[in-house]
Amino acid sequence: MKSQQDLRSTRRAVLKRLGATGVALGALCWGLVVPGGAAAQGGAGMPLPDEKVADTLKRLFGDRPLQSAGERIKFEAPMIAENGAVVPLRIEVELPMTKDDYVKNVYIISDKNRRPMNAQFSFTPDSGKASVGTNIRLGSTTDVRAIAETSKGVIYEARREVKVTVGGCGG
Amino acid sequence: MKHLVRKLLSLKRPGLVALGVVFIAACATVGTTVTSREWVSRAIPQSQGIVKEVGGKRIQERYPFGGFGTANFEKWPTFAADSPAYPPPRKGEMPAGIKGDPKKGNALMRGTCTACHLIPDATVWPAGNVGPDLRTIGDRGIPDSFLYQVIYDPRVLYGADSPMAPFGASGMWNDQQIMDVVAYLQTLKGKPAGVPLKVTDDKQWNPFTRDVVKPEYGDPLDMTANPVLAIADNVAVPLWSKAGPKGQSCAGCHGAVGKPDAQRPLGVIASMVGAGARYPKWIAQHSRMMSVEDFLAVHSPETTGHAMPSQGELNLTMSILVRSQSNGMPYQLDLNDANVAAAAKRGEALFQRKVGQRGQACADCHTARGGGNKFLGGRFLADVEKDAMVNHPYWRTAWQRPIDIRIRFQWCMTPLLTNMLPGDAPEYADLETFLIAKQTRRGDKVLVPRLSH
Amino acid sequence: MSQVRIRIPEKIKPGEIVTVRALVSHPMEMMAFKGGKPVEKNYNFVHKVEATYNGRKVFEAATTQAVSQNPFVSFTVKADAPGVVKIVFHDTQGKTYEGQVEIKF
Repeated sequence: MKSQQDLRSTRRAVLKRLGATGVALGALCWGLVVPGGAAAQGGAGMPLPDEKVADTLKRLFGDRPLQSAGERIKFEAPMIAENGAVVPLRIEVELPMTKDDYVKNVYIISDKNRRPMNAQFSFTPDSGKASVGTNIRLGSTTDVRAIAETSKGVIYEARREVKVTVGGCGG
Repeated sequence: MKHLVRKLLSLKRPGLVALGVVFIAACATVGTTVTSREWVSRAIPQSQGIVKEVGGKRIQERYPFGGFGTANFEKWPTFAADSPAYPPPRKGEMPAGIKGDPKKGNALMRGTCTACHLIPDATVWPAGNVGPDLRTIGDRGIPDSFLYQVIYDPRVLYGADSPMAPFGASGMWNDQQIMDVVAYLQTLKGKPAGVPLKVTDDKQWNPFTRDVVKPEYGDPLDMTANPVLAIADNVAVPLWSKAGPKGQSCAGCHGAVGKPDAQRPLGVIASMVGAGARYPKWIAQHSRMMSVEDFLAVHSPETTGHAMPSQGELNLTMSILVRSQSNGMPYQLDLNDANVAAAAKRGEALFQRKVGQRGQACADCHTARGGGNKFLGGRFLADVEKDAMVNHPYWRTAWQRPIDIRIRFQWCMTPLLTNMLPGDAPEYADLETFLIAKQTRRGDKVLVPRLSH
Repeated sequence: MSQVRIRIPEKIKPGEIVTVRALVSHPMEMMAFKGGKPVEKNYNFVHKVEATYNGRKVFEAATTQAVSQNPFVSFTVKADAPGVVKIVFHDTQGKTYEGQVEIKF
């Protein structure tokens, strides 16, 4: 199993090795290697793969079970998003943040987005609490998952269905 | 007027003459408004509603964002003062020998009718409830010819102010399409007859049981929640103190931008506190009502030399800076000003005017007799008497840009299949006056910039 | 003018867990698709956000195009000493956007 970070660094290395010619190569090999745009501009981030959510979960967590979070994750997501461009989310994990057991990562994963992996947030015991808020884009009505991974490797998951309205006027 | 004066004077009754003079004096202050026909627009090009020919096709130039499109509807009524009225109700004749296809009818209904009507198909979401629930209409034994007429032109059956569009009379649907929908409607039967089908148990799916939900976008006056504050802080605030080509700055006459307070995150301009709450105002120099945005577009070039075209970024962010000075204060249009009252009256007439190929009015969606307090698709429609708010400009999250009430009006024109007027059209100022007069009477408070979808 | 807007509560007590909010003006450009295939485009989105408190890392986010335009994040820090919270946004074109805020008791 490879973590998100591992994948990123592998890709970065690939890019580095490709060097200047990588720009042209990347442009030719869409979908095979990595998009050339980011490489050309020297940035490190790039679009994540288009995939089914099951593949995302497998890629991130391997065969580790996802336990239902119950009260451990306070996940605020709108029942009905007025538009898919800005869907405000707020996640608070009610788990201890001590040196030897803390919430290491929180993931936001939207099942029906073309790229289900939306964001990963990393914390340290100095964070005081694993609490995060952000706004995401949703392509359609979907389950959105807030997944917390502890430093001991335990994974908890909370899910909310967000209905995305399309078109209309409003405002 | 001269005729009236002569008549009054000829009466030779001093009391009445005095009364007449007072009457004339009050009357004389009511100016004749210019209209969009005469007004030279100061809006950005995409806001001017320019109709032109491109590649042999007539189009209307509109904004490049948000799905405004360029379709031209110049033969249908608009909000222009001299626009003809929408054609009167027309009786349709159900064609003999056309068989409807329920499957095609269902497809047509999903694309259009479900904005207002509920049909039994769990994949249709969001559905609305402006019109009747149609899930079991096939149980009611309604003749095809009646359903045909409802779709062809409902005004024949339900009166000229029916909020539903005349799909046949307007030419939006042909006879075959109407018959497809009729055929589909007749298949909608309950089990047992008359009992609504259980479409889904999801409370939020059903517009009759759905909650009015507003996502929590955060405090609109917080720089880290409302992106337009950062834009206004970068654009309008420095411009305020920057001398224009004429050597003068806004601050030169109106004072500097001071420290922010809880209600005014962009900083306090003491002389502007309360100013925005009194607009739209009758500006005699221009013979029309003007909103803050309309006024900035003429006042800024006149005084500082800074161009500030309506619906442009400078205009919108400057308006936000000015209007935010009145945050927390009630709207206070001068309803005793005869010009404001006359404009509100003109605005009310516009509010009721059927426009576009669809032939629908603001009132069709925003009063209790139409969609007010109901759902249009997934959206809750505000009721002009209760909660319709003109706290503009605001940050529209769906488009990630600030919009003023005029862009809002222009956007409303798109689904009605109407050509839009220039954003700074005097007619729009009248409509805005009508709405803000209502807010003034309600005691609604200013909150600019809002943060909404 | 700082590109990153940061907000913390006005009054903070020592030891308190404090919410820090940050927003940066950024287009978060997505890649265009045509017929199911990516169209070459110089996409540009914030892919990383880092926060330190007196030099110690307290928060990091790996973000994607699924984060809305003008990206916003909020997170918490345990305010155990006076000092500076520094936040850096990195985009895929290699540009960084920085902001900082002082925690005082």
